Amino acid sequence: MFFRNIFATKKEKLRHIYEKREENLMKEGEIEKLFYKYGEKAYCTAFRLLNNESDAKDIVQDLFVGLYRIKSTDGIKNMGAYLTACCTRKAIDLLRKEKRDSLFKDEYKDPTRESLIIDEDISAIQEDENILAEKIREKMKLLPDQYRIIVTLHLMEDYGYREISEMTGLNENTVRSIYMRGKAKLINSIKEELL
Amino acid sequence: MNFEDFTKKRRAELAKEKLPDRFSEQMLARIREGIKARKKKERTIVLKYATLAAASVAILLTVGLHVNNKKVQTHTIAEIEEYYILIKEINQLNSAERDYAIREEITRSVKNLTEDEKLIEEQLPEEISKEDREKIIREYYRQKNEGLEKLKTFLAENR
Repeated sequence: MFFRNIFATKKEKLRHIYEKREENLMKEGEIEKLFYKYGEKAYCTAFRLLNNESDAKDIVQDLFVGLYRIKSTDGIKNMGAYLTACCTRKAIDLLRKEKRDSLFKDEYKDPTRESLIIDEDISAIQEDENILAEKIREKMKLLPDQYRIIVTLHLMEDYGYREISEMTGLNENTVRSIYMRGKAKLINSIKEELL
Repeated sequence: MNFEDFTKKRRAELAKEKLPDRFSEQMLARIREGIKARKKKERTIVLKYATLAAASVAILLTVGLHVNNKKVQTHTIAEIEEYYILIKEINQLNSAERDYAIREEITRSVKNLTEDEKLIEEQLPEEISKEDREKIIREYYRQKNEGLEKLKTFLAENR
C-alpha cells in the first residue's frame, strides 16, 4: 500500500511535468504550416545533394519531425534559411554515414582530366536562356558525386569554400580545386551537347 | 555571360527539382507518423527513468527496513542481554565479598559457566532455519542464566 501510494504520486507528478513540457513544444499544426511553406525547398536542397528521391524524403521527414523538439521559433529570424542550412547539414551527414563517406576523404581522380582553362562565356553557346538553364540542371545531375556536391553547395546554396571545408572535412584548397574542376566539367559537357 | 553570373541570375529556376507524386500528402503523413513515434519513444524513456528511480527508492527502503529488522532481531534475544548483565552484577557482588574462599569459588563457577571455546552462534550449522536458530540460542542462554542467577542470589544473601 505504502509503495503503491509512492508510485501513484510520482506517476502523477511525472505526468504533470510531461504535459507542461508538451505545452511548450511546437504543435503539430505549426509544423505542418512550416512544411507547406518550406517543405518543397527543403526537398529540392536535399535532392540536389543526394541525387536520390528516397534519401531526400528521409531528410525532409527528419528535418520537420526534429522541429517538434524546438520550444519556440521566435529566436529563429529567417526560418527558410535555418531550414535550408539544417537540411544541407543533414544531407552531408547522411553522405558521410553511407558508403559515400569516401567522397570527403580524397579528391576525385578525374580520368578525363578536364582543362581548367576554359571560356566561361556560356551565353555564346546558347542564346535561349531557358534551354541553357535546363541543360545546366540536367548536366549537373550527371556530374560525379564529389563534383556535384561541391558545385551545388557553392553555386546553388551559396556556401563559401571555408564553410564547405568545415562541413565536409576537406581541405579548403581541395574544395576550391574540386569546384573548379567540377565547373569546368559541367561547362564542357554543356558545350559538347549544344555546340 | 559568365557561367557563375548566369547561374546566380537563374538560381530560383535552377533550384527547382521535380517533386515526387503526391509529395505533400506523403510527406505530411510521414512527418505526423514521425512525431507520433518520437513522442512515444520519449514517453517510454521518461517512464523507464521513472521506473528506475522508483525501483531505486524501493530497494533503498527495503535495505533500510532489512537493516532495521536485523537490529531489532538482535535486541529481541533478551537472554543474551540478561546473560551479560548477570555476569557484570556477579562480578560487582563478588568483588565486595570478604570471604576469599567464596570469592575464588564464585570466580571459578562463573568461569565454568561462561567460558566457551566457541560461541553457540558460531557452532550452529548453516542449514538451520532462522527461527530454530533463535530458539536454540535462547534456550542455551536461558540455562546459563539460571546458573548465574543462582550464583547472584547466593552472593546477595551472603552479604
